Amino acid sequence: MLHPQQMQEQQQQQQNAQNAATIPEHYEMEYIQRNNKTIQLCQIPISILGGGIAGVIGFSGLSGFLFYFFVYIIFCSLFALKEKKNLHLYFPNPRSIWFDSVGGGLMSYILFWTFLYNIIHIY
Amino acid sequence: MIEAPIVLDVEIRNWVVIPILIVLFIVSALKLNFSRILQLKSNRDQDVEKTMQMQTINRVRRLTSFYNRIPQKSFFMRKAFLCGTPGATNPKNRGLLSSIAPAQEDSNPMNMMFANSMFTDPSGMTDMLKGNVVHLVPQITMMSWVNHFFSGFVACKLPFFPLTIRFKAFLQRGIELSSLDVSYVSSLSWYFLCWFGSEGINNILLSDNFVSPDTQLFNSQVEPGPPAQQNPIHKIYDGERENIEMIRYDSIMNNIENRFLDNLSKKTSLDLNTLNNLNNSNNNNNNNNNTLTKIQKTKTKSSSSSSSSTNTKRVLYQKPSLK
Repeated sequence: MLHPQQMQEQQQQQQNAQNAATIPEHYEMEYIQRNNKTIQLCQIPISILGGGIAGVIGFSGLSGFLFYFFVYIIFCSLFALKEKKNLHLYFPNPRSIWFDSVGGGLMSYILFWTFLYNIIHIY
Repeated sequence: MIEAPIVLDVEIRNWVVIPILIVLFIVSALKLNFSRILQLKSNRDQDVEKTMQMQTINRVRRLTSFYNRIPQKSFFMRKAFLCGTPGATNPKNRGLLSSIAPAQEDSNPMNMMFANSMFTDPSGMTDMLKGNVVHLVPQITMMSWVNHFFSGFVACKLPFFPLTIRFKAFLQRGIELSSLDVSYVSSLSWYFLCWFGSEGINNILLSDNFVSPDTQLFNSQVEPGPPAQQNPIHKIYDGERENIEMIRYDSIMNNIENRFLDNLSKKTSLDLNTLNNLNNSNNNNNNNNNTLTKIQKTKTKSSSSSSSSTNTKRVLYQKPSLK
C-alpha cells in the first residue's frame, strides 16, 4: 500500500509529464544520411592526407595510430568550430560527430601511411 | 635481437607495389560502371503494376507512422480510401487495400510456394546473380593474378606494430624464412591492404557526391523499400489494412495552446522560485543563521509554491477527451 501522499505525488508527476509532452521532432532520414555522408566525404581526404604525412615523417608502430586520432580530433574540432551554432540543425545529436566515424577513414589512412612509408624509408 | 633494416629493391616498388594500387583502382571503377549499366537495364523492364503496389505500400506505411500529424478529417478520409467504409457491399467502396483478391487459392501449399518463388522471382534472382558476378569474379581473378605473378618475395613493410607469429603464414605467403620479421609482408597482403583502403577513395572519386532530389527519386524507384518477392501482395495489403484499422486517432496538436501556455508559466514560475530563493538567502545571510535552516526554509518555500502551481494546472489544463 502506498501512502496517500505518495499517491498524490505520483498523480502529480503523471500530470506534469502529460503537460510536458511536446510534439516529438520529426527527422527526415534521407537528409541525416546525406549529412553523415558529407562528413564521411570530408573525413576520407583528411585521413588520406594524414596518412601521407605520417608516412613521410616515418611514424611506425603505435605512434602512427596516435597520429591518426590526433588528425581525427583536429578534423572534428574544425568541423565543430565552423558550424558552432548550427550543428544541432544538421544532426539530431551534435556530439555524435565526435565518435561516430572514428573508424571511417582508418583503412585509407593505413594504406597511404604504408605506401609512403615504404617508398621513402624502405626502398 | 636487433635487426638491420632490410633494403628492398626499387624494381619491386616500380613493378609490384604501384601497379597493384593502380590496377585495383581501375578495376573497381570498371566494376562500378558495369554494375550501374546492369542496374539501368534491369530498371527498364520493371512492371508498372508492381511499382504502383510498392508505392501504395510506402504510402500506407507513411500514414501509419505519421497519422497523428494530420487533421482528424483527413486521416479518416485516407482511412476510408484505403480500408473502405465498414459494411460496404459495393466493391468500389471496399477500399484500395482490399481491391486485390488473392489470385488463386491453391489448396496445395507446395504449389503456392513454387508459384511464388518461380514466377515472381526471376528478375530478383538474376539481379542477385549479376551482382555476385560483378563483385566476385574480378576479386578472384585479381587475387589469383597477384598470387601467381608476385609471390615469393617481400613486397613491403608494414609500419605498424608487428602482428603475432600466427599471422606469418598468411602475411608472408611464399616466403619461407623463419627468422624474418612479421612486419615484412608479401604482395598478397599489400593487395588486401589496397583493397580495403581503396574503398574510401572509390567513395569519393567514383560515386556521385551530391545526390540531387531528382536522382533520389530515381534511386527510390530503382530500389523499392519493402521486399516484394517474399510475400504475395495481397497478404502485405491485409497486414497494412489491419494496422490502419488498429490506429486510435489521437492528434499531437491536441491541447497545444494549453501546453504552450504551460511551458511559459513553468518558466515564469521557475524564475519566481529562484528569486524567492535569492531573497531568502540574502535574509539568512543578514540574520547569520546556519546553513541547515536556510536549506529547509527554501525547501518548504519551493514545495509550497510548486504544489500551488500544480493545483492551478489541474483546474486550467484538462485534456479534452476525444469521442
